[in-house]
Amino acid sequence: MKTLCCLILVLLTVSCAHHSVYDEPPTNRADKMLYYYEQDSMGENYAISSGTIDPNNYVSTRVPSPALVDIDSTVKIKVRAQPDKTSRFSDKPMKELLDRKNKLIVLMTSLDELMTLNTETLGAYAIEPDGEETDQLIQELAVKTGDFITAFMSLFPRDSDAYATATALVGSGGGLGALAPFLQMEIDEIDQANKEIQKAAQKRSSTLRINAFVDRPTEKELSAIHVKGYDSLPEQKTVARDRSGITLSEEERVKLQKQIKATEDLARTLESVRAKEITLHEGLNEILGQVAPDLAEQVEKAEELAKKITDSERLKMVHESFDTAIAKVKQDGHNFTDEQLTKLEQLPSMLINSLAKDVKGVEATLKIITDAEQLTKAWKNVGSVQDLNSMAILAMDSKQLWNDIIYAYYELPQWLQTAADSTDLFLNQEVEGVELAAVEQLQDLIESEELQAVADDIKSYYEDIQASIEVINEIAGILQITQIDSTKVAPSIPESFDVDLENLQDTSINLKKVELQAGDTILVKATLKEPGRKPVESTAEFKITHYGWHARLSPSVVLVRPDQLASGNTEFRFAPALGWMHHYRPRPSANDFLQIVGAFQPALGMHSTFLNFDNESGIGLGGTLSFWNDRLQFGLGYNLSASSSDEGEIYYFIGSDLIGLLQAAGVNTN
Amino acid sequence: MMVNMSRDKLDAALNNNLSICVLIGIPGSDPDKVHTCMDRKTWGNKPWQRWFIVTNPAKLTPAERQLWFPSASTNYVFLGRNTKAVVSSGSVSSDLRLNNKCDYIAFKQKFAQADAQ
Repeated sequence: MKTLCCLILVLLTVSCAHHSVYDEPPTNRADKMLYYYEQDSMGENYAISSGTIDPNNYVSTRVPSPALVDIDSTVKIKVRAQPDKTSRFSDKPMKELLDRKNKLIVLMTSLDELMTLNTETLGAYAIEPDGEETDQLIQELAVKTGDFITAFMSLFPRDSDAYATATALVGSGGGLGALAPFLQMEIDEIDQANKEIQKAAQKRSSTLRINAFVDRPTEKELSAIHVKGYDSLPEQKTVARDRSGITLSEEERVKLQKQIKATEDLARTLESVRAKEITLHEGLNEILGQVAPDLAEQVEKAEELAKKITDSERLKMVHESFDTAIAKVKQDGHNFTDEQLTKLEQLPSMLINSLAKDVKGVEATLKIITDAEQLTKAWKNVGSVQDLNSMAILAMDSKQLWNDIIYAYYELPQWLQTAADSTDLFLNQEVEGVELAAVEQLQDLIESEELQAVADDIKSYYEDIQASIEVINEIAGILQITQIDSTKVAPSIPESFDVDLENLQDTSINLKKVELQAGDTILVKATLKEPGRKPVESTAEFKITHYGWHARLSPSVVLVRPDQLASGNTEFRFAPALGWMHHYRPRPSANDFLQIVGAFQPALGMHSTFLNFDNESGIGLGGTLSFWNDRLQFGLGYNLSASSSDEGEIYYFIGSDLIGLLQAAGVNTN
Repeated sequence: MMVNMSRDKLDAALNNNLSICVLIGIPGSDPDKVHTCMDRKTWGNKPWQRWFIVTNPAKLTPAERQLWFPSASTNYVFLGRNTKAVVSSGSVSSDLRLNNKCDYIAFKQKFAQADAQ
């Protein structure tokens, strides 16, 4: 548990300041093709890819990495083609083919009409050869036949091979009607030729593909979102968002309830420490279990497992048991060859080395998590919460521990990082592999009671390693270490397509139509494919935030003090409070005054708090002014339960949104 | 039909609403080959269309010879169904034969022109 104290303090020291970051200048052609700017819900535009927007010349001078954008805005993307002239594909052959195909289709239609007229005319002629109507029909048939042949010969000149084929067909039976399959065949050939041209065109032409994803800190995978004109994903409906922070979804409501409960527990424990009912150390242990129970549980497991797998006596005993088993087999007079005996004697060392190798990677990480002796000592030096000097040292050491954990996690082999899913299989195979090696040589030995006992020991050892890996992964998940890696694999989007540079269009991502929360990231990945060149990728990142005013409900722990109390005990005491805080974040383009104000991340709101003055419970209502995203709060309020000023009618407090701080630091307190 | 000893059938055709193709040439010549092709009737001829091969030019009147075959190179003529006027005429080899074979589309085209008149 002592280690957990250190871990939590690490988290408290993590900064949560955010501002737009850019890569300057754009490094490749794909970067230069895309110009981003933000349009807010009032239609106001804000530059992203350059310092200011020049509507006549959208030149990208920087790539957002990430740029902060408002949750209710639209990310506009100007796509500027910069095709290489030499590689531009001419679609003239395709147009010619299409034109010819259309003419053939017209010809087919007129032939069909001609055949119908022919049948009608022959019918009329059979009945009344010299009739007036027959004469008119013959005239009409003659004109249409002439027109058809003229049109036919414009497509198939008399000196062409196709004409020779066609006229032979006419002569061989059916007259002009024999041309129908001929024309259809020509159309089919054009279709085929067109396909081949398109294929060749795809190879020769430059294309751009744009995909967009949401990267949510709480999810392990990126989610694709629609980019109009570049994929066929369905467009989503506008998401209802409440900037007043009062309308909560069911999920948000449950989360808030948990936070309020944790805040109440936290305030109660801190108050017990202040009142010297429990020691500071006990109190802190309790607190850590309250704010991050999952983390507390996992660290406890890690401590136990670290002891078990790093126990040198345990490995030594396995080695000795193995030696004993082998000695017994030899004593029993099995008929082994010398070579088999040599291998048999090597087997214990081989197994132990294999075990030690696997343990090594796990052990290093577990050790960092559990072996925080220095920090534990530092904790003991913190005699009271007023010992700011010790706290500062502790904070620095804790930050180092945080870095060590991240470093150790990434140093783990890939299979260990993902072992939660595959470890079972992998380790079983390892053990089975060792057993099989033995089986091949020593069938009797493997079946002996002694060796089965050794095998069980080894299996149990592997199970501990497996459990350790799961703990590490759990801790990594809780600390959201995986989120630090910004290169989550983007899933392929079957609905997206390459767009020829000649058909590029500007596009946009309307964030109102995307399920988002502040802190999420939008990734826009563009891939430029040019003939004879390697594909070039451009990635732009947009961090979701709230610009302007927005409000939220914020549970916090406060040190509250009554203005007057009959007993005279007006010292600070801990209490839970719930604030409805209205935050203001100015845009980077705002004036200097607002920028200075914005740097303090101020919020103004009202609060209610549970008070306990001289064992008299009460509810207070008042106003709160906070800075740095509610991390530091000042409040003044009125005790509704007090009937006179000396019952703590007026109170004031200083407090902090500890739960929010933990979340900002990456601890999943949900 | 061959016009050698008698021109009765030619006259009958000339006196009716029939489109007529008159070819002139000796047996084995290109006009004769075209006539043979037309006789196969697989090219979708119409019941109001007739074709003749004149192997004995003496059977034609001087006026017909002058009007239908004004030059030595002209060896076919198509006559309008109603008007019996010359609709087209020329050399069989160049107009009705193609690659030493009969050009059936040309037959259709020339007869269509004759049918319209």
